[in-house]
Amino acid sequence: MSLQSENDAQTSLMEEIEEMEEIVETEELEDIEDTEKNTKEELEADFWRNPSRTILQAGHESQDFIPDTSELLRFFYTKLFPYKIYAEWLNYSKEIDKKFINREFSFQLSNEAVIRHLSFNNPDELKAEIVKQCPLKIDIGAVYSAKPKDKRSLRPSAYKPVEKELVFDIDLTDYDDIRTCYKGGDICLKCWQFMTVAIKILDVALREDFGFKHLLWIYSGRRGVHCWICDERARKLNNDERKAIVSYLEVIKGGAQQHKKVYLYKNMHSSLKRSLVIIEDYFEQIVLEDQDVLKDEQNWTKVLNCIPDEGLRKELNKKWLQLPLKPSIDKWHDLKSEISHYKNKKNQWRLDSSISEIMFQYLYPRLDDKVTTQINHLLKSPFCVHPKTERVCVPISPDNCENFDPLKVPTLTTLYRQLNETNNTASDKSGTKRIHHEYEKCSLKSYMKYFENFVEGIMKEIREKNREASEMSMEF
Amino acid sequence: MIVSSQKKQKYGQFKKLGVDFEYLLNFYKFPPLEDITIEEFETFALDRLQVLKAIEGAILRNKTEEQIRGHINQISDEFLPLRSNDGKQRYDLQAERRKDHISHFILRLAYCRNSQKKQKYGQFKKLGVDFEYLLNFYKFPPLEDITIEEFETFALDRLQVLKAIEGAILRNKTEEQIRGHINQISDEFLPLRSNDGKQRYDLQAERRKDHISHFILRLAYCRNEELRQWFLRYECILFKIRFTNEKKEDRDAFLRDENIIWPQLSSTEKESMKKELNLSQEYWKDPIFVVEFENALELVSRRAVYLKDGKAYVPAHEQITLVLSEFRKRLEEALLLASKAFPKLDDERILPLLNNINKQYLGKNFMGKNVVEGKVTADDVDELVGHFPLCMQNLHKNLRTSKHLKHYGRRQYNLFLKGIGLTIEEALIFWRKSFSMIDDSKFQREYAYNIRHNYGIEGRRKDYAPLGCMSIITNNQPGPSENHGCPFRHFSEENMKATLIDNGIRNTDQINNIITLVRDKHYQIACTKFYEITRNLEDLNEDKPVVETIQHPNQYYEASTKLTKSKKKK
Repeated sequence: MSLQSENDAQTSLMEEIEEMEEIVETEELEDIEDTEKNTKEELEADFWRNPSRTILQAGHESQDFIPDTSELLRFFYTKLFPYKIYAEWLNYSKEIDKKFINREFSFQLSNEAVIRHLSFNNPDELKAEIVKQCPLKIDIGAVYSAKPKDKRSLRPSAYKPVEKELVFDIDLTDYDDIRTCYKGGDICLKCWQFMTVAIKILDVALREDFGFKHLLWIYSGRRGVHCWICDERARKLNNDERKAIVSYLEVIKGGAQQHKKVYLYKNMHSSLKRSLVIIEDYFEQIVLEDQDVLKDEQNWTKVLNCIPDEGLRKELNKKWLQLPLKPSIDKWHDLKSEISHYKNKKNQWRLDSSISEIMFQYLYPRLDDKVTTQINHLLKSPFCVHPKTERVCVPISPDNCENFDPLKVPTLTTLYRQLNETNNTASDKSGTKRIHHEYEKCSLKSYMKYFENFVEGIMKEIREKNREASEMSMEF
Repeated sequence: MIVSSQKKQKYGQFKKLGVDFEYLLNFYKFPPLEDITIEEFETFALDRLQVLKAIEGAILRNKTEEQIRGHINQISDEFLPLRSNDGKQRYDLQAERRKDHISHFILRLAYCRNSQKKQKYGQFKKLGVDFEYLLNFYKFPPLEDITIEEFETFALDRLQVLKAIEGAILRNKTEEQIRGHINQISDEFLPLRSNDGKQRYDLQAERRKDHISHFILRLAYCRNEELRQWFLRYECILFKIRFTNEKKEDRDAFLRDENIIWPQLSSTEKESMKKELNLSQEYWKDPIFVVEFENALELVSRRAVYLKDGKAYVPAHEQITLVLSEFRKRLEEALLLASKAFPKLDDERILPLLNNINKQYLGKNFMGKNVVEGKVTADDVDELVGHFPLCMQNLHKNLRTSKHLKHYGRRQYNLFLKGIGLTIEEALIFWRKSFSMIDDSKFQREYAYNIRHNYGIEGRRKDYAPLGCMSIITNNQPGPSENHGCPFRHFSEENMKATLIDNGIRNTDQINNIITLVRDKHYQIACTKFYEITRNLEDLNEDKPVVETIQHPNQYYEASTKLTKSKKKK
């Protein structure tokens, strides 16, 4: 009985919202027939569309007016954040269940206080809270055995992380000792190429070696990328398994005090051979030309330090000091030919491999392993906005990542302008095409489409699996 | 009221139906409701028990199913006859079925208390007296009676072996050396010989001791995560050593008996993957096992196995990793299970023994009573740096030059300072002053929490112990621009040399001595050597160490401050 009435209440709520929608809509899109809304999806689409569209129209007509960041954030969270797909993704199903309800979220508020252990009973609650708090940053944690918001009242043994996507975090600051263009938070298209190569190498390794299929690469908003691996198998990995994967993928080891960070074995693993092919494709352009790592003594010393022979190091140093303006690429040829002509029978193999080792040290991805190895580690959510750069954390397609330009990622200001413009023109010639979501009107559209397709890919696999399972049980 | 009447109705209904047993087979859905005499009660129960026991006996004697059936039919006819419907003319089928029905329910009541366990262990006990192999996955606990003395000596003897493993690893020996050493210790305290020693040794007694001692320590070490990890780690190594010692035939037979088999790559598949498998000639003929990568973690993390689509292709000579991963998985689960059962353990004879076992053998952790709080203030730290081991000196130096340390550096240093007696108030002052480039609000927001967390007054309120050398050397390898870790482990050779010279070691022999130790991965011995040299303790004539090997940065500090005090006294 009570269940029935709850359902009733829910449908009536839906209807109410629908009605509200209609009021707004009839003003704008007069020729849309209401009969279209019969299907469930239609109802849902309406539900997720924002009823507060009028705010923007009533407000600042002038194009030059840009509100401050917190106002922009509110605009972003009410208008653009893709709540529906986002919830579907985190829940791995359309029916909301524990995977969503027991998922930890964390908000960083505008006063920089961080609230951890948040959780929500349904996507509406999440949306309401985000809109209310307008967090500067949203982090996603693990799915726990109970609701994270109840954590304090639970026994520690009743509150354990159960699953989480396998995540990777690569940040350009970890490349500071080798990149010569900018340091710290600043990036340019030149040093961004380190990320491009990192994505290329990791993407293929995770797919081919570990068999993962659903990899979501996300621009971190400033100077790095995140990868969310959403396969069921990846989500169920425990910390030891995550550690083993990191250690399999990690090649660069050693702290600031150790110059040479890569040591290869004689019989190179097939995964590294594949990486080396990718590195060889990019090394000349990125490391020698763009980064110009052999341009002066300070920089070339770092490279020379990776050669395990003092005589050779001195020789090359002397040679380059005489002709310091020689382009990096020629110096690199010097280095290679010196090594191949150097007579040192005992050490020859180590010397030869030091060429590959240098290439690995300069281009192989540098992972922040703590993020990956702890199942309960938080990671910034996709589609957040970086508070400093105002750039949206959008997906990057790994097949096409060499064309990704972080400096051209939509910022809050541009999105605000775009939406204002289209809304102004739309109100002139109303309702030519039905629009499901505001983001279809701005430059976020292609990113959202990518995300939608990505989530649909996961859903499709889950549906197929469920069908197989039910067929199996029928046979039985 | 309503409930009971409902029940009665149900059973009443049944009773009326039930007086007629239509078939010989019965799912025993409803209990009997009629009255029976005490005599009937007893004889029915015992007769059924006769049959069940006979089944147990027949199975234990490893008869075939056919044989068992023949035997049981015989016994059944005698004690609990039950005939098919076509015997209607000759036998009272209803009486037979009634007896079957009632006797089942009596025994159900008698055996419901912990029936599963009893059955399982009962079965095992009879089988288990015979240990066929030296290897053991310790599936079933021992059920026999043992004396308290045996209990204690067995446990301590096994502990000797595990402790010896720990020590050997701390001394950074190679795997080969460790194995030799442990075999020696093992022969003394816990001998365990292969089947070909049958003539000369009492193998069954050896294996019984191994079996029982494992289970005692499992109980003693199940109580918290730290103890479990310790036990797990060294039991796994012990198993590995034994597995390596054992002959191949016995190993394979053991695995077969334990039903541990993996699918193998066919020779055509192998040929087609030749390039990727990347195997050297000597291993090419051996089989290759195909397992999920989760089962070969150790190989995955060493990048010592070919991976494709989540499957690991494990060559036969790495089989031990697969076995060990299975052993580890089972023991891990068993330890958790034991830890849940432990609170129920209420035996005043063995509880003190169990408590004693693990306390006796935990090294000093530089927490609580061992630390005189408030002895050291924030301003003293700079003066005391000379007493710090190199890892802490390095952190201190970097903290002073860059006015900042990254997370793991802060943690390592802060916990160390806590261990030498800095109170939380002093620690906060120390870090606040050190991070002079950072404004107060940022400090409070981003750093103060972690410092208090280390002291156990934030978050989960765990009072963290200062990190020991093993943890510093093996956990959280420093990334670029991080300064934590062990200098002997994480500095390049040139840097190490420069650091040694900076610390006043000018003698080339001494420098080379330390560098050689580092090259051989004897980091802690290198650190000990460094201590000896810088304090002029080295005995130049003999190569024996003068001080105990450094296993904890706080141990280094303690030794150094004590030495200074004793010198002053003189």
